[in-house]
Amino acid sequence: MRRWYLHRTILFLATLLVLWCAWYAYSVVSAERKTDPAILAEMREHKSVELWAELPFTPEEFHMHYMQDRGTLTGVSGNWMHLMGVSPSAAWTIARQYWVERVTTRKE
Amino acid sequence: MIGFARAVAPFAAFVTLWAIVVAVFHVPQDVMPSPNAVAVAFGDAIRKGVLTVYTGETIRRILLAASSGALIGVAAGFFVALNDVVADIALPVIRFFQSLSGIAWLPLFIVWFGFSDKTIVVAVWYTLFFPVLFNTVVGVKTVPRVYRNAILTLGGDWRRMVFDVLLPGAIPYIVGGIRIGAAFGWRVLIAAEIVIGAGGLGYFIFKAEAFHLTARIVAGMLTIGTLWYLTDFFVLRPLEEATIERWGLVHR
Amino acid sequence: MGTRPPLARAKQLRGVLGFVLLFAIWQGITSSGLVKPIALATPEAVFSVIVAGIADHSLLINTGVSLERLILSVIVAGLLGIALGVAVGLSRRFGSFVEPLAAFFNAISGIVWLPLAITWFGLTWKMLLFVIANSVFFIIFFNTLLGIRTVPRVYEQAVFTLGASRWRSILDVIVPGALPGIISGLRLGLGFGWRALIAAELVGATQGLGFMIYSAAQYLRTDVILAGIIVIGVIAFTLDALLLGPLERATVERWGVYQ
Repeated sequence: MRRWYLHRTILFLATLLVLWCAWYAYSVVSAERKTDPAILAEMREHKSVELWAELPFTPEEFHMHYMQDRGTLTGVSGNWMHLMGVSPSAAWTIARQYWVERVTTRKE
Repeated sequence: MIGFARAVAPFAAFVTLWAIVVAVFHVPQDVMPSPNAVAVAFGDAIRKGVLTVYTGETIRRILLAASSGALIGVAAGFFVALNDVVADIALPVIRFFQSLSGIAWLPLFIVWFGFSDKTIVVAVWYTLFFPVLFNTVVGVKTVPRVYRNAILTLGGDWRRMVFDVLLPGAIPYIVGGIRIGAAFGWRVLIAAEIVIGAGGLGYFIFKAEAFHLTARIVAGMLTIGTLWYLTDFFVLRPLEEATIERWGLVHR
Repeated sequence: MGTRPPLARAKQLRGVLGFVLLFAIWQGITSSGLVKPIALATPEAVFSVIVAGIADHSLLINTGVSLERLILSVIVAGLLGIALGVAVGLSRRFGSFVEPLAAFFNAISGIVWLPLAITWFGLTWKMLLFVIANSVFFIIFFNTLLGIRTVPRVYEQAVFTLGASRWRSILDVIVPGALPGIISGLRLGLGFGWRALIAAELVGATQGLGFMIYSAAQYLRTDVILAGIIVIGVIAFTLDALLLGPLERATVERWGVYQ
């Protein structure tokens, strides 16, 4: 087939791939920015962490469920959620979410 | 440009009609939300990450089930089709399992795997596997004996037989089977997500109903429809067209 | 029909053998102790459930309720689908407007409407009817459309030259010509409808086969589940393979529409 790379399927899939990679890269960069350095340090030592996550809105049942799947949710206060026993990879995933504004050691 | 406008026109007209009907008849928002309300709910669900995460889960499941189901289905199909007697024995049974939707097996899978992600993926895999298997067997069997004997007289081994003769010959059927399997699989996926409740778009719309967030239900439905439409338009149909066209066979 | 040729007979026998082998494997797995009895019921346990279900009518009632829902939905959706299909097929202007919308709505047909249908109708038979008819409608619509469109123009023109009016051409040529498509649509519609029915019943019914197997799961009654699955499967298989084949033969083939 001539110029197969311009075929709509290839273009579609290629666009998806590029967008997905861009999204992922952005999420990684912003996760680094959003998380408290103390927590990042603990994550690097492969220790499970305790954290407070701030959302730009009041958490819905979905968010609480989401956090429950990744640690022990001890409380929700306004836009803040408190989690304990979060594994480093789970904490990283939480930080990467665009709907999480910050991940800190204490509520503000 | 005109073509694009013409393609979009029916949808634009529909949305306009929808907005007018909801306004004129004072339809309550929790019975049928206006297009505007749906757009707002859509934006809200994305902003809060609900829709994105659930969509991601659904996509992951269909990709997983589809890729493994299709590959194993085609491979198994070749094995079954190799021997005529075996194929005759197996085909009606395969056809039976193809007719018996994966959704009916869900209660049994629930007993085995609980209300989990695994249950959903297995059900979707099953639904996709059998049409692919069936169509592969039929496709291989329709490759004319002449071609098969030809490759043998030319000194070909089983590898050449499979990849140069059987696979090309069976591809229109295989792709047809994949398309059918994907369509059934997608529906079973949404249904299973509703039943199992382990996240996903099906769960999203089901949960929205429990909270009477009708605008979210519609937003979710549109997402589901768009996802399927995109997959069919950009991936499945071109695949089918390309294989039929290339091999010069017309099967409808 | 006359006598079947020997090869076809052999194929049939082999097909039956396939099911016998399947049954044997099932029996083998359960009796060999490979799986715990709670995970997979034995054929005899399932058989006794079926017999008991027939004796106390529970299985018959559930099956009947499900089939009733299916038939009703297919009738409703069929009438709508054929009517709309004919209308769209006959008018190009109408068609270019409706078709893309139908194609999109087809992508959401069936179970996806469940939450919305529950919002509108509650957990009632109306909700089930809506969800099932939804799936069936599009199949019948598209197949009717295809049927109408593939009627060779020549026939229509021939009838016009013989002095027929538009109405006569529709009734005497186009609709009969579209019949294979329509019947195909009905056949597929029954199959699709059955799938949608089971899914809808799992979630939103208090009777019927879908409900029966789902509630059995809560009690880990794999024997009841398998009994239900077998009935569902047999009906599905029948609908897909046998039901409308003979109907086609009796009507369409006799009228010589097939080449």
